Amino acid sequence: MIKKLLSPLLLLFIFIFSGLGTYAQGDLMIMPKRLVFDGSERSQEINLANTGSDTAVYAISFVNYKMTEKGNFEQVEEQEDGQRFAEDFLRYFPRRVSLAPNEAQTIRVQLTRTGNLEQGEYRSHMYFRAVEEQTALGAEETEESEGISINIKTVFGISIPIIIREGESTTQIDLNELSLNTEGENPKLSLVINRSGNMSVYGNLTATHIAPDGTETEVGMVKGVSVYTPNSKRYFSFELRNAAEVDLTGGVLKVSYSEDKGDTLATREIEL
Amino acid sequence: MYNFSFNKTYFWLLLFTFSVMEVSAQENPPIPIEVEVRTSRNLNFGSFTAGNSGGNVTVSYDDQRSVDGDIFELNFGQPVSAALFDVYANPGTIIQIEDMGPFTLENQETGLQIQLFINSFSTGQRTFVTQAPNAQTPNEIFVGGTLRIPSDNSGNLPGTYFGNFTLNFIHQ
Repeated sequence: MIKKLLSPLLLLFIFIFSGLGTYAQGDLMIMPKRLVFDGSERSQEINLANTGSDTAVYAISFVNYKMTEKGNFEQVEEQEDGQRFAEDFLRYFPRRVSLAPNEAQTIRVQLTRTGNLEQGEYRSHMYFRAVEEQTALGAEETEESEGISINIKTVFGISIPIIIREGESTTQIDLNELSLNTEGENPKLSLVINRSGNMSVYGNLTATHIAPDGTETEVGMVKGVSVYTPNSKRYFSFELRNAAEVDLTGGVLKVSYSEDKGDTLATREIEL
Repeated sequence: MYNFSFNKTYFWLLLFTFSVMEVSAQENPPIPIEVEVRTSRNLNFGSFTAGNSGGNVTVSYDDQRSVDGDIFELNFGQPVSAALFDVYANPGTIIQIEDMGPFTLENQETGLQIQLFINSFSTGQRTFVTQAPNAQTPNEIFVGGTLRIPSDNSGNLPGTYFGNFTLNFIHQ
């Protein structure tokens, strides 16, 4: 083994480095984090800002995802049963932006061909991808000729959902299969969000402990939990990080699923 | 008879009332909604040697390097490190790291390729809930991966390999 190592023909020094350690490509801030066209507006804006110290270029496109029952996203090219992509009904400009450090730009997203929209919901995800700077051949420093060097650069993207809603919502939400697991570092609450109807839901889950004397304590919260069409259920679990002060062996645990603007979509209580 | 003290009382009462109205008319500024990702540190596999049978070099999210196959670790040159991304979002926001790859690193002169798998996350899974107390505090996401060095007897393995790995953060 050692002899083999010492053989110059077989020995390859590999230096793995990742370009410039401080190369801050794609320090991107996006506001807002989702866009919903529900009939009240024909166009909306997304603000991009480069919060890094280098000029960065972003390509903007659409991607489509399906959601699994566990809440993971998987990219799809074709619409699944009950799923409708929004990209054919959206126009946006610009499709590529170059932002200097601390520079911001607005992306305008417009509805189009609205006469062809059917009742229900359409969804695509706008994808912002940092564009890799092309290096001219020969411009890179070459490592020692016997070795291998590997130059890895990180390129990242962020996607946000853009949703078009046409007509009245018939969506109903129900929470069930609540169970509390107190074995870990923090207690963990698992539940199933059931969805029926023609539109997806997006909201915050809040767990509140109600002690026997009526004292209410918010013990856990997760923001931005969605169940997208066509899915009828989502399995979800989250840690109750503020449960240290309460006695989870008694009282009631109330779980609420509410929209950002405050409307409660569903609640469920379990006796502890 | 003109009662000055009565008017004075009313004057102060009126002033107080308007000052209260003035305060209550002030609206709270809107909370900015944002999701932001910054690259703090890139993925670095350090230095090692490879025989002609190839093998794998893995760097876990906690900067631990392990090798298998015809690979031998060296302890000089670039320090081993996982990639570090700072994710800024409101507390309790769900973000998913998209499953992508493997990524190809290519030697532009010989065409030989090395594959890179991104497979180790400090979040334990690809979907995570941001825990930082506010949108100005970063949620640190450490990401590790595996390099698959091919077996090669041609002597063409040396050279510089270029490639990117793409990491997508999906906001629900």
